[in-house]
Amino acid sequence: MSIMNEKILIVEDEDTLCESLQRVLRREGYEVDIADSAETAVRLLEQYSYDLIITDIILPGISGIELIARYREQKPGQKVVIMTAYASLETAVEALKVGALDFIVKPVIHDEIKRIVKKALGH
Amino acid sequence: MFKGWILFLFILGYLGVLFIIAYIAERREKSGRSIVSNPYVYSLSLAVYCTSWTFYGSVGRAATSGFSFLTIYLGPTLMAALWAVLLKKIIRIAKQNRITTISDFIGVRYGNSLFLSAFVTIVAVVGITPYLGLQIKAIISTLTILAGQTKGMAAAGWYITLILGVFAIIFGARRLDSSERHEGLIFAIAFESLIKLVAFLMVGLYVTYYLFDGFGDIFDRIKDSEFGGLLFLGTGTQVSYTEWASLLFLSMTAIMFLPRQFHVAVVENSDISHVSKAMWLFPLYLLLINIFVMPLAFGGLLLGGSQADADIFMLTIPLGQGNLLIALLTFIGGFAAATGMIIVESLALSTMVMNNLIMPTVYRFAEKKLFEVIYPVFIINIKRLVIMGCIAFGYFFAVSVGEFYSLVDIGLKSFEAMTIFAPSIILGLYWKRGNKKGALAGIMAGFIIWFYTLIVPAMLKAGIIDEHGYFSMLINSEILNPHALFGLKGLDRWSHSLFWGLFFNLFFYISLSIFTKQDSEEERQSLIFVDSYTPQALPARADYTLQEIEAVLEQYLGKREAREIIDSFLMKNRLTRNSLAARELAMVRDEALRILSGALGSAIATIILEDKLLITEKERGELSDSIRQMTDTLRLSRQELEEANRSLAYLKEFSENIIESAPVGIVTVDAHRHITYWNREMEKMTQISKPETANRPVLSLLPWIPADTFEKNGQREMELQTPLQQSFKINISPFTDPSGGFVVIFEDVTEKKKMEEQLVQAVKLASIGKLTAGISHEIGNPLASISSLVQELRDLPVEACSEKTFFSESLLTINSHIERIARIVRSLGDFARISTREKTLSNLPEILERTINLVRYDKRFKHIDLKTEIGEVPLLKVNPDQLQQVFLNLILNAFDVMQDGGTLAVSMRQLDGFIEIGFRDTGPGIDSSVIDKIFDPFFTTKPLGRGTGLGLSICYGIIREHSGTITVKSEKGAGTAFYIRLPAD
Repeated sequence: MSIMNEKILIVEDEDTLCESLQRVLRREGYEVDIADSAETAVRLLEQYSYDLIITDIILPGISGIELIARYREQKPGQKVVIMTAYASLETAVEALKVGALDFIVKPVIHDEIKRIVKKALGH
Repeated sequence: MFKGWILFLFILGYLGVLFIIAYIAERREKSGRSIVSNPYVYSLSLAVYCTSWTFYGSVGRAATSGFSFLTIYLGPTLMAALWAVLLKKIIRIAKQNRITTISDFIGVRYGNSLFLSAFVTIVAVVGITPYLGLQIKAIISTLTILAGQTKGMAAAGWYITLILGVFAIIFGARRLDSSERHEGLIFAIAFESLIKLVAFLMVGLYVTYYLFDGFGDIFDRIKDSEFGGLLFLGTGTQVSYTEWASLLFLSMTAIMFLPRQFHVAVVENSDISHVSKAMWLFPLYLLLINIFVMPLAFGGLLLGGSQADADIFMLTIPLGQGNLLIALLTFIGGFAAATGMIIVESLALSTMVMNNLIMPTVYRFAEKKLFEVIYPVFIINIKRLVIMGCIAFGYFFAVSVGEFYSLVDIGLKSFEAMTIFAPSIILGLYWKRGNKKGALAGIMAGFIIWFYTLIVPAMLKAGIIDEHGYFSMLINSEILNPHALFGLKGLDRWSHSLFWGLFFNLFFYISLSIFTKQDSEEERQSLIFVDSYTPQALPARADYTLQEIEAVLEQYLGKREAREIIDSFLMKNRLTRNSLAARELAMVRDEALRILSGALGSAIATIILEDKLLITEKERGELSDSIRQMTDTLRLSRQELEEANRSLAYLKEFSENIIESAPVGIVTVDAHRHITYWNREMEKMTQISKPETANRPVLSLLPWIPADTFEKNGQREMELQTPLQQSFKINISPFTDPSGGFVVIFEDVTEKKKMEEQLVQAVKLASIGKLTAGISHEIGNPLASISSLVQELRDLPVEACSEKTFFSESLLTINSHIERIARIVRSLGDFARISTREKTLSNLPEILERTINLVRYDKRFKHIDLKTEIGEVPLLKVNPDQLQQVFLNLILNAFDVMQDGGTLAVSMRQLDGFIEIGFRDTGPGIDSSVIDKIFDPFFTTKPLGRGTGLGLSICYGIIREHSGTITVKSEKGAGTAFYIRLPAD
């Protein structure tokens, strides 16, 4: 399918969900890293760069929104998709404000996430 | 001729008869059968006016001056015509004010002036004493004539004078009380008047008809004689018209103001009505006693008597004829005339001197204590001494000065003196402004003129004073000549003195009265005299006793006398000692005051009695002041009371108003649990009107109140539910009043309870809404994990076919269950996110149509008949998604309950102020036991797992967010109807 391995970072404190989504997206041919908090994500982002970041909003420490906001100051072109437990207009607006391309409502439908990721990466 | 001693015995005999007569009269008086108290004795007693001057002097004057003697009797006759007005008024005033002498009368009239009284007394004594002397002179000279010798006659006169003095003392001053009438004395005087009249008539008849041939004979003969001029008046005669007029005036005043006339006419008057009869009886007496004056005078002249001796014609005529009997009769008549005058005059003068000179002096200068101790013995004896003194003074005047003047001359001087009082008395009775200064100045002026024009010449003539030096110059000067004062010549001396005397008297009296002011006492006294005004005294107090009154009298009159007075007064008024009413006691006190006034003069008596018994004038003033103050205070208190009453009435109305208007029911019950008050709110709450409750037992009217409510004491509160589903909060407090009872306050809390329940519901819902956010997130995360894993599993390639099928089916099942969980979570999320922020103007019918279309074509509901009835409604500002949610919920609920088919009627219409949307199904209905709970979150009637229990709760929340209401009506077996009402503004 895709020749170049596009890199994705998933930030999610729910480990099961996080690993599951890692497997699903790897199977799709993406190179996927995971972080269980915003702080872990920041460390990874200091070493690597990713084509897409998928982040939950509610995290143990710094919120996903804040993480994105800060990182996009560093790297304004960073593609981001927000993941949230309930979909509301406020969440969507917030996500869009920090530069999210899309948002995924939990529970995550795999087909949906695949489609959104593909779309986000511009395929 | 008579032997001296025979005459003396005769006189004693006559006096003895007089004593007996007086004694009898007194006895009769004491036993209450008075022989004196009638107009005849009164008129006869008035005839004391006719003295020896009348008896002898008239004849003498007729013989020298013709008819001029008549003036002395015409004056009183004229005056008698005025008695009905003048004398009666004087008597009334004198009685009311306990006045006993002419000096008292003047003094009392002019502000109770002691000084004025004293001065009047001096004038009277000086003026009258010669007159007294005149009577004694008459007695002595007639005795001399009868005895034919002068030797020892002066001594005899002296003894007779003494005896008369004793008589006056016995019948006039045996007791101190001069205000009491002396019936014995008066009867004796009346008797003497009768004697002198009879004697005169006898002599007159004897001369006229025995010695001559009647009136005509005498008058004819005198006309032809040298004395013919005596029959005429006027120019060329002895009597001028002015003198005639002056003498008329003099005698007019004399009959009123001579002390003895005042005494018999006023003091001794027992009944004022006697005056009316005396008004003609007295002139008749004067007429009778004067009938034979002219015949006697002319007879004497015709029989050869000289004009110089005319005064004794009465005696010389019968003696000349040798008729000793007639001569003796004449003597007795003359003696009677003289003695009557001496007795009454001395008594009147002594009373004046006592009351106005001696008593005030003694009272002023003696220690009061001493005065009281010595008084009873001392004073009565002083009075006796004064009587004797008056008589003795008269006697010495008679033997010294009297010889130089005729009887008439001396009498007229006294008459002149009495005119001095006329202005002060007569004007004082009718002119209120007449005042003390005027009276005093007038009387002084009159007295000075009288003394200077009449007495000084007399004294000169008698040689008592000599004309020499300045005095001679004065007397002979043009202006101050006592016979022609201020150059006034051509008048006889009587007219001259009268003119100037009255002129100055009136001048000073009137001018001073006009130009000076009266003090308050003078004003009051003038009112009493002029208007016969009786001052309104305080009602007689009764806090003195009969014993106290008697004790005061005892001090001044002696024990026996005091007791006698009280007893006789009580007897006369048919009272008994031990049962005196206050009014009767006041009468006794007044009597005591009257008696003491008689004894001491009214001024002193009032001082003593008021000091002893009664409140003084000052105290009376203070008392009436304090009474006035009390009355004022009372009036003020009454006003305050009225005001307080008004305030109280207002307060009562106000508090009743409060109770009536209070938004709580107020009931009062008495100790027997009967209703005594029931206010308006109570009527409204219970639908029981006030009149129905009156005095009814509270428990029968409000049976839902526990019976033991009123058994306990102390304040309590409870909440009760009535059978009509009303909730009442009841406050019961017992009255603090010992009679018991309770105040019960009812508060209708039905609405409040409902609201409270709604509030609880709302709070519960709100709290659930808050929780939901967290719950949603917490459930969502694991769900997300499960979901993700299941999806992975599903997509994994499975080796065994059979396993593969089961594996995928199981996964499908898991997934479906997970979806259900997810739905729940979504619903909860929706519920929590309710917000009014997203309201827009929306078309309600369109929202409803859209919702209906969502289910209309669902194959599951093809057996349900859906009816719509959607009317025109205005656009409303709502949240369309939420409302759609509500509509959908209600529709789906209805479909759920009608699994076996039915009808759902959906309606929308505009009502007054709001829009109603109704959903009526034909399902099984909602059990009444759960109908209250259907809007609670998590409450569901659906089988476990089929409903979330949040649908209606969310609907409730959404509609409340829109300020609307959602209500349900349901009956078991008859379907359920939901109604949403949204405000249409």
